[in-house]
Amino acid sequence: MPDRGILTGQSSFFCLSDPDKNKSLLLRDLSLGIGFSPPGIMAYPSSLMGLYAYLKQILQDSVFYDAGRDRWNKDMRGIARPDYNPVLEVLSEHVAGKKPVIFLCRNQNDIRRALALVAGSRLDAVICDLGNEASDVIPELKKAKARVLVTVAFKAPPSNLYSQKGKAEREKAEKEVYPKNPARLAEAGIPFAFSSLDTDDPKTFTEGVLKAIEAGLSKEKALAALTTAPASFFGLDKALGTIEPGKIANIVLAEDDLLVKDAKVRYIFADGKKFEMKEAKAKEGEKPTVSVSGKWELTAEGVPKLTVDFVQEETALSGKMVTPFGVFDFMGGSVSGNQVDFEMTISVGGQEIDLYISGTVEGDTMRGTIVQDTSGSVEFTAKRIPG
Amino acid sequence: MKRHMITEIALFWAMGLLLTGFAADKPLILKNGNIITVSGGTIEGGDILVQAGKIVRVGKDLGAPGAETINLKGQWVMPGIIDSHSHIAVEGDVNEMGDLITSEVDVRDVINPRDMMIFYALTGGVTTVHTMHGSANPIAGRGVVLKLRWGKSADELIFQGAPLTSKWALGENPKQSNLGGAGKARYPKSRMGVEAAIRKEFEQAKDYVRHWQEYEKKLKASRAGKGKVPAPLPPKRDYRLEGVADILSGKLWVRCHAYQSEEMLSIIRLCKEYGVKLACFEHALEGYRITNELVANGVGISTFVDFWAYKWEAYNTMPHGTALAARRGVLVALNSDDPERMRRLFNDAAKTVRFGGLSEAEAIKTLTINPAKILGIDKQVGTIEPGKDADLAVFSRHPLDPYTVCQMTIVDGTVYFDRAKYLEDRKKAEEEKKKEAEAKAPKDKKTGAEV
Repeated sequence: MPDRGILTGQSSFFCLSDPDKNKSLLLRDLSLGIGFSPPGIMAYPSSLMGLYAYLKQILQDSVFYDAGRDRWNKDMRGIARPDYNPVLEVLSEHVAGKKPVIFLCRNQNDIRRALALVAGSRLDAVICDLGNEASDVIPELKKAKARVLVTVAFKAPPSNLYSQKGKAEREKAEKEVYPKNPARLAEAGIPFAFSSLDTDDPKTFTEGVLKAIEAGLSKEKALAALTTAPASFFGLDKALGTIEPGKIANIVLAEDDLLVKDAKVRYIFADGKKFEMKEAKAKEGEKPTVSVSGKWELTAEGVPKLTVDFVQEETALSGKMVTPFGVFDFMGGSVSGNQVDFEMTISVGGQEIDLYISGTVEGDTMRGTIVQDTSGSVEFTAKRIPG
Repeated sequence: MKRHMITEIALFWAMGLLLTGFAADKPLILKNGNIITVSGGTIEGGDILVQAGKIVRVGKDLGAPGAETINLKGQWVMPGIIDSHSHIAVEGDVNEMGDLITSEVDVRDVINPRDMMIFYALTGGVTTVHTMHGSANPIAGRGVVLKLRWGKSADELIFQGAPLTSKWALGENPKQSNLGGAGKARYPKSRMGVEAAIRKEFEQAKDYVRHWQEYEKKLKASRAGKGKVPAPLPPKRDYRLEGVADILSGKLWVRCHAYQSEEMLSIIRLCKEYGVKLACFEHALEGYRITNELVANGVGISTFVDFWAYKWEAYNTMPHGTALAARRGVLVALNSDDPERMRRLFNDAAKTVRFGGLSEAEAIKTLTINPAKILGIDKQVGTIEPGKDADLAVFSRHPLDPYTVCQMTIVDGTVYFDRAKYLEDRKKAEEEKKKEAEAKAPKDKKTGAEV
């Protein structure tokens, strides 16, 4: 699911069986994400309180839009035709409870805000607990019969006391308090499924699940939160979640126990296709044939002039980029043959933008692409600045 | 808003307090204190009897069976301090910068009950705060009055019965909040444009209300016609205009950020024309120049005593301004606008005596009954008298003494801050930490000595 913005977009379900998305797609345009992070200070809403007011208004607008179009569809005579609005067209289905919404809650206050929007509406809401604080809102979740997607990064949100206490107390809570969140939800009987939304890769996700088990979650509940619970949340329990005749053959095969540290997963079947798990070999980059250390002037269409200062140490690449919005550092890049790859985050008007840059070096010229995750890619040319 | 360094130990203690606190139903007697009642002078060596969160009696030698007793031993007790202009406990930005008019926004939606600034305010004798939207917009969001019931939920912090407020702003701030999304500058660019923007919004809100009234009429006719007259479609709801309509109906009390006397006069006229409840000008550094108009129109000022010249529109004032306005009969409240200043508002009040010649009683009023009146909560709080909420601040010396220290803060008869207990718990926590560190330190297996 898309997770940036306010109405973040619609989600789809895929089986990880085929690179062709038309083959691997299970369900499209299913749930709608609703986030609580204002996109920046340059547009409305710029604040959390403005965002909440905006949400109240657009949910109301969607009800109004739906009623207007219904009425017009019933009898087109005598009344003005309502304008077509693509956003409200989608939103109204979710507001009518025909499709679920997923609230991306950064802390327990967000969960309360989400539940307040749900109360008195027809929203079919799933709470995504990014702040690992759902277990502080158990009575409210029970009352709303809410389903919860639990994340496992176990980072204390800045709004809570632990974070305001300083680093030591925060880290202690992240170790001792936050991993108990799934176990406490299980104990209270709140339906929940695991989500990898705020973990970087499958490995950290698995480690997070194991941490939750260490903190008191039973393996049965953990397994359910990875299989039957998510399947039932999104109406896919007829096809997924258990191993039984007629269901899609998505199966994980491990030697001995799956939910232990260093579990030995041998095979994964997705849509019945067998994938063998092998120890990943460390990727050996080619030896660099070029040295890019020094300053480069980078030009690309529609992009202000940028200067990049590279520091290359054998295959490792780091440096900084001078932009009209400030100077931004990067590291962890690589040089392989005459290929240069690095990624970095710049901040424009309070908004963070991730850039993935790759280029080919020939003499004092580099050509390649800058990919920006939200708005596509652009070709660039860079020239070495002598001296 | 500044965030201050917070000691871990303060928090440790503060969290512990959430679990303790005195039972509110059991009678509580504060014995043998010097009581600044505000409404009835000072009672030396007096007692206050509290039950179910309310003050029951104030006098000498009071008793009640089974009462919890706190001996004040000659300390001073005053009504809990009311900070009529603050931005604490707000999650996210305090300004909605994205649009000119943002009356749809409500601070109640973003109260963070775990903001440590609530606890620190208690350490300075503050029991009630008005927390509000910033000053980026001519008409901004709704503000709310909170009681500092530290540890309770956001809903439980809300001061029941207090009118909601509407934050307005004149002059430089709304003018300069011109970030303008997508390269567009935001209207207005002049001081006069700010007032014009408010007037324009009033007219739109009146239209909006009229459309709904017409709809109600048509709906009635349709129901009376039993299906012969088609049911009308309701107009589109607009929360922004509904917010403005609430201002026009007097449901929201206006709190208007302003510095210059000319602007304040013109807003007084505008509010009179539309019948708007203008409760107070915020900062109002030139308020001392228009005291007759403020008094005649029942408009208060919420201000600083010696904080000015931080921008050009804040130059024309003086340390005597606050006292001058108070002596001329203006309802003056001293506010913090800042979580750090919030903890020493009693020092600010003392300055009105030292530099402005206010009486001690008048100075105490700027922190208690005056802000209570401005906020419309003077029936519940602001003085120590029977029937009022037991919101009390206990000080080691007279609260206006420069060496005074707040010792205890009570909200609704519950002790939310007790300095002696705090220091004791802090010591214990420090010792505990030391022990823990010692236990962790590597030891020589044979000798047990640290290596």
